[in-house]
Amino acid sequence: MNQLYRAIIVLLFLQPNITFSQHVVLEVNNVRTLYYGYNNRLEFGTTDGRPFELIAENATLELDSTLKEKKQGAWYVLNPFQYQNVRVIMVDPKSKIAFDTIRFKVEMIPDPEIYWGTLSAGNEVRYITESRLFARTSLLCPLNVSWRITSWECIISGISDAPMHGTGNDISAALGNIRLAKMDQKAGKRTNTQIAFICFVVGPDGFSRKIAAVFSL
Amino acid sequence: MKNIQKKIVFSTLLILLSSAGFCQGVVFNLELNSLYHGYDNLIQIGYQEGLVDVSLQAEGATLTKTSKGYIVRTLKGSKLTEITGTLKNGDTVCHYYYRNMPLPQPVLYWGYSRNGEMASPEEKLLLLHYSPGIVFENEFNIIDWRVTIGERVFNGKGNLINDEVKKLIYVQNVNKVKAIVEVNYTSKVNPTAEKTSGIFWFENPYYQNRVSDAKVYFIDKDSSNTEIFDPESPNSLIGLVQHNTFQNQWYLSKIQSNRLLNSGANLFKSPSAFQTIPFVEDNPKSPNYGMPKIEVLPDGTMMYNYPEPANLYYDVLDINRIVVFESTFIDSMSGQKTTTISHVGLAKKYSGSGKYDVVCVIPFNEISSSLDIETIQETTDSLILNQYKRIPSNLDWDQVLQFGSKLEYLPNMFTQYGHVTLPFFSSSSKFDEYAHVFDTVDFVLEERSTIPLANVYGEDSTRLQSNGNVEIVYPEREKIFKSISAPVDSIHVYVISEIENVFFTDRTQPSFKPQRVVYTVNTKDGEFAFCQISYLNRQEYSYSSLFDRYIVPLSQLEWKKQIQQSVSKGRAYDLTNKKDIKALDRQFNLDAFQGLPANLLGVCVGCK
Repeated sequence: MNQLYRAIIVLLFLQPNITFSQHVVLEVNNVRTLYYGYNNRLEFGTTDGRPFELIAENATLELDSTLKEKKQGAWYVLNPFQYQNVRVIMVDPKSKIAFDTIRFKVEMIPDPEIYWGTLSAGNEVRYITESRLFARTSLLCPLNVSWRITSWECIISGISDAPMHGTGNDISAALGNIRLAKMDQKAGKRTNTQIAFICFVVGPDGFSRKIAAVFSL
Repeated sequence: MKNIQKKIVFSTLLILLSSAGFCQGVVFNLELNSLYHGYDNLIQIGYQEGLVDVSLQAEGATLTKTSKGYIVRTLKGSKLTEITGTLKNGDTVCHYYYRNMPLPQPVLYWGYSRNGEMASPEEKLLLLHYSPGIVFENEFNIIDWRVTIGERVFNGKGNLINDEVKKLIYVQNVNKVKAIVEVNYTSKVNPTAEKTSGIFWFENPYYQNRVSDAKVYFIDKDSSNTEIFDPESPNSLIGLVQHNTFQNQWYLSKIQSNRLLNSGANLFKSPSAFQTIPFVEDNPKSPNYGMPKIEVLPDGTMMYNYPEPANLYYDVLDINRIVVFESTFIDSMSGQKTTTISHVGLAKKYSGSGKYDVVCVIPFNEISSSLDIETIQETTDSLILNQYKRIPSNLDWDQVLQFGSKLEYLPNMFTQYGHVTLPFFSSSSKFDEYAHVFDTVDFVLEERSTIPLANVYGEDSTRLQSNGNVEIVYPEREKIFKSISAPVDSIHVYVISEIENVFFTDRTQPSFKPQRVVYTVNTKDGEFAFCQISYLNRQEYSYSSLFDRYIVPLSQLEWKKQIQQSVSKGRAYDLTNKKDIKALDRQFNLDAFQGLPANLLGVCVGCK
């Protein structure tokens, strides 16, 4: 009998990598989506605690050292370089046999919305005080994306001046004409005045997007 | 000792068995960490360094262990769930925060077209999808649908629209048909039926404006018709067109804008010309199939590849001639013959050109519909512009508003001081009880503070609305009371409204949402409706928007009358007559009839 126990204990030690400095991963609602041109920060685990190595297909996979200092466990940065067929294969470190493939859906970072100060596009501008435009990802989208407005163009409906241009997000150059239009509207000389901004916005994926926003006076 | 030995044998076997069995990878995405209210969220445990016995504790949610994993139900009103996993010895092995969100609302699609877009009547499938940025997996099942086109309503089961709807779209006497679609649906997540709706627009390919056999009239700008031409008046025809150019995309044709730009004319780039939907990789063999196409600009920046915008120009300034197209058509539904104004063209002379250029041609009904006003026209054999229907007496109106000493109907003033909000009504009472509000209470001008409240992190404070949108919270509104007085008794407003809940931060309050509003005017011949608005799918709840935007200013009635008079007196150019076409050719650059085929007037473009 003692021999049997010995054998089992030996077997136990043969099981690789059973160490007890632990971290546990909680997957929520089977979310398997990645964003293109975005540092998707992920952690992986196996349902039975089996050790694993990761091989990424059509994406780069790196250990995230910055996040690991703050959080427990091993975090990875997954950057898809292709729009389709992005998957991560889990391989047994010893036998190099794959035991699971995780397929990811890849999406582009959703386009941002243009805000005039705190006012979102489509709204009525009551006070013309704010001189900056901002691009923000929709509040429903959880991605931490910072957008940069590189240039803008402003057109006011029914005003004969050529479109006003500017770089950055400062629209002070256009405010004079907008105020004039507002004064005209207050005086009853015009109605339904619309102000269109066409902004060039750069996201973390490096792609420049053209976003239009129309405000009404 | 024997017991301990047995335990060791058992647990060892367990570990061996489990590692030999089915194993799955588990992924956690740092940012996509939403839990949803009213939904069985599934949490699966994955281990990085061996199997351990973890117990999970949740704050802001309840946990139930099942064979698949943990089912997490968020607590009502909680915004954050914190889940901590601990070992038996008290070591923490994981610590996660999840954002608690309401279940996202799907968006209605008619074929490939999203709610609010142009759709094709040939498409028959109604679909529900989430908007981009929402990664929640769900499937929808449309139980039934209801399509409203004009006054007609069609119902059906399932998500396939029947042919009757297509037929109805094709027999409408407009080229842009609006359909309001309401559907009841269930989802994989929520088996109880929910309701959503959408508006779709259709190009009617069978609509013929028949300009080719119409008569053409001119109205030139002079001192007598300032109601039409005065750009200073916001409700003149020209003022109306100038201020609505963005919405309605009345841009010049490419041929015309190229010619005018080459001759040095000053045209305006249309903001709607900037296509914001990029080209998509359409080669199925490409690894980036479905992804937006990227172009690299000379300075090295990578840019989404958008459709060419530069050729869209507009110009609606300094208009001094109006071209009126009269046309006769036969209503395919009733068989009645109607003569009416089909289009209005705005023309101007550019410097250096002896001829007029028509810079935009607008379907006449669109001038009204641009302000969301549906004018009601009766079909007769004579030319009609403002043929108003008598008010339908069989309808059960909830309320009739009469303009009196306190509630004034002024053509321009009302739009200017239109930010009128009535107090919210309580649900138990009928609208009638609040009729006195119009007579006794002064109107409230609500001013909104532009600086939002900050939350504890110093960010803008936000609030989730019932429809899933997130709204920035502003401080309490400042109320300024403003009274309006002076009588105009002739105008009545008939309202059918329904009670709908409006959500506030701390309470839900029922309020009146207008369903159908008809404006009438008292004339010598009796009471006539001159404007009808159907509010089936509008989001506005207060009557402010109603007064602010949807009223027909009297000056509009005036210019419509003037056009009618000019047409009845003016010289008609018959487009079937060769002499008349030659006369037109002498006066106009005839490549210019924007929106209409260039050879419509029998003139070949580019050849003389």
